[in-house]
Amino acid sequence: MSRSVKKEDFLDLNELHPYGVLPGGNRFFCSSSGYRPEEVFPDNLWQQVLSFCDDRALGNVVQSSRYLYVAGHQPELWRDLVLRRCSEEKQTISSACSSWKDTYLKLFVRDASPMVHSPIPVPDVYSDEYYRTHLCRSFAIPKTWLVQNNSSAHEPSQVSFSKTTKPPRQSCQQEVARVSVEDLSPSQFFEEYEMKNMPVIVEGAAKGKALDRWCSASYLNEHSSGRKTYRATSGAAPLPANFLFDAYQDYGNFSYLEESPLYLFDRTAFTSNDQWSDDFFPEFYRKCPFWDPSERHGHDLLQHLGANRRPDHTWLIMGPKRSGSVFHLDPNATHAWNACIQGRKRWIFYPPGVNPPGVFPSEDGDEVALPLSVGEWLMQYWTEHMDQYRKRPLHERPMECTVGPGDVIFVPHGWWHMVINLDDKNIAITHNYVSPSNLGNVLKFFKEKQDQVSGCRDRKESIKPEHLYSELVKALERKEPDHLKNALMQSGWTCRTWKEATKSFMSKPDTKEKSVPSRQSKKRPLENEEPNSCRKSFIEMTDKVEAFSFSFL
Amino acid sequence: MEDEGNEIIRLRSSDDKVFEVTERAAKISELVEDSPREEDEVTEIHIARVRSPCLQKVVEFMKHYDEEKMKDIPTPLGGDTFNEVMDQPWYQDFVSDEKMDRDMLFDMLTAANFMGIKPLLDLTCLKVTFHLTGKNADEIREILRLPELTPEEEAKAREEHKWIFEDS
Repeated sequence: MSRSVKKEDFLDLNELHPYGVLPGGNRFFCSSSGYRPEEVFPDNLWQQVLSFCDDRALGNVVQSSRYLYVAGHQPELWRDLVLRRCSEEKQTISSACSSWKDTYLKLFVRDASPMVHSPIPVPDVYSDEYYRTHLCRSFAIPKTWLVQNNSSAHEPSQVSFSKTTKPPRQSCQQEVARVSVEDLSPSQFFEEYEMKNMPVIVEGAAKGKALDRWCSASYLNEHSSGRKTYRATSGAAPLPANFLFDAYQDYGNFSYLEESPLYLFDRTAFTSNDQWSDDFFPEFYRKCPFWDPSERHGHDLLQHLGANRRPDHTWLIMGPKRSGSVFHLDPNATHAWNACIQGRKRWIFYPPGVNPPGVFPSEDGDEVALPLSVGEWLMQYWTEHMDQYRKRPLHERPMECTVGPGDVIFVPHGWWHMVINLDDKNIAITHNYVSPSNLGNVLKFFKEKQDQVSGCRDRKESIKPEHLYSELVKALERKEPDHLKNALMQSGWTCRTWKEATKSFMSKPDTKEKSVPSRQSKKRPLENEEPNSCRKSFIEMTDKVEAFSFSFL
Repeated sequence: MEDEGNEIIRLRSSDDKVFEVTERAAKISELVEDSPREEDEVTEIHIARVRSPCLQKVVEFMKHYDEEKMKDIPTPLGGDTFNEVMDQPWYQDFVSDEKMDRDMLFDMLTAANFMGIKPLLDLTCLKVTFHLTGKNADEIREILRLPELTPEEEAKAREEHKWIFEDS
């Protein structure tokens, strides 16, 4: 087993700050006695001012001084110009250049300079804020994460279930269990993982046509059923972006140096596209009958609400390297499977009832304060995360793993999880579902946590949160009365995430005392709908809770 | 008028001048909101980083805001001039060039940030932005009094930004 990853591993950057920024302390060593803009006001205020500038103003500002050259080239400023103007003019991002600034010019400024923006590293700019964002967006990916530790690396494929390889338990890191799809029967999946609410990687479950064909971007585009635009969002962007498919590929190819890259996740990819569905689902269901909705064991119970009326449930997800989701709970108390088609992902789990470092849910779970980007969480909380392996008893410890193409991971309900894309191109499919193992909790969730219900508010035809409980009961009375009866007999929550008792398992006392870092925001953990503007500028977030689009990986 | 919110609190500047303002008006400042209150006497909050000329204006803002709320500044701005975006006359006047010079404007921005007064922060940022809009790089440098790029850096940047001068 490889040694544990330390925070310093993320700091082993390949690249210096493209605009030459050095950490703030260095200014004490510089001899220049020049005027310091940061002495006028701090970087975050400059960002606020610049966020109000239009394209011409910003273009002039960056020519005026070294400091403003750096400040005015923060990619988020140009990104927001693109997003706002696209929204105003109802325009799609039809091509993506090597930076947000160049993309803006290409889309909106006729006769823009043919020169592509290439950053000039300027001396004499010292800023912890900008240096920090550089760290957050270009953190080094530890080599140990890139290894998948296949369970059957040295064993024949006819290994029986009892010989499923679990990596040797150590006093520090524990990895998620792995089992080959060929060795996993439905009853074994239900008993060992779903009923016990434990994550597992089912190796080889996603092998098939999709894995073979989707590595070609042009294939996906050619078979997009005439569909033109795809929506991508991020926690830091004020609006969603609509890309043409090729443009999103280009966006992913360039390193935009944003702290939270835009994520493509699309909930209609498979309802409106037969080729894509056919490339994946038939083989997948054949290999994994425990996840086949047409089987009689009661999988995917929300299907009985009706295809258009049920909450969103299946997404195609694509994102560039280092994109990902910070800690969240999947919506509506559902389980999920996540099939990796291209690119590796690092997963970090915290078991039900245990809040990850840096995550501060309110008592009712309706709001959560946490860092906005993956990089920020790694910079700030990694050391504390590693401490949890030592400090916590076994059943409260986090778990980690790397999932690679061809594998499917089971994400049990109530587990906090975070996902980081490790390769340049990452494609996955995910599906949230209800089975008899979590139906009781889902019913309770629909009944008692209506304001946290998501995946149904912004579609006209979907059942609204206040009716989901009664509609589900009605539908299951007809289609699955036995499962319904059992679930309704459940008296309280069976998952610590939602139990009253979980209050006592929340962050240990020493983490409670930590002040909430200034760059955190409050938002719902479960929303995955149209974002209202959730981050207008760099300044410290206000208390406004914004609906927020989440990518569930 | 209710009694609550009409209590006077005192704000003391970094140079020890005291300004009085009602509780209700002052609580748009997060700093004030979060400061503990005295039980038996008038609460005095030390605003350590704001000097009196600036704090006086901040209090003026607070008092007016209590009577006439400032509209939120939309993004995108929806206007090409400051007065188009911020159409409330009192607020236009408050940060006008006649009433507030560059140094005071920057001080107000910093004070608004320090005291956590979002409407004032937005207003002052907006004003600074419009000071920069429509100006070329030299003029911006002049306004902000910032160190320059070297001639080589400047030439390269200028080459890249020719599009600003073309009408689209």
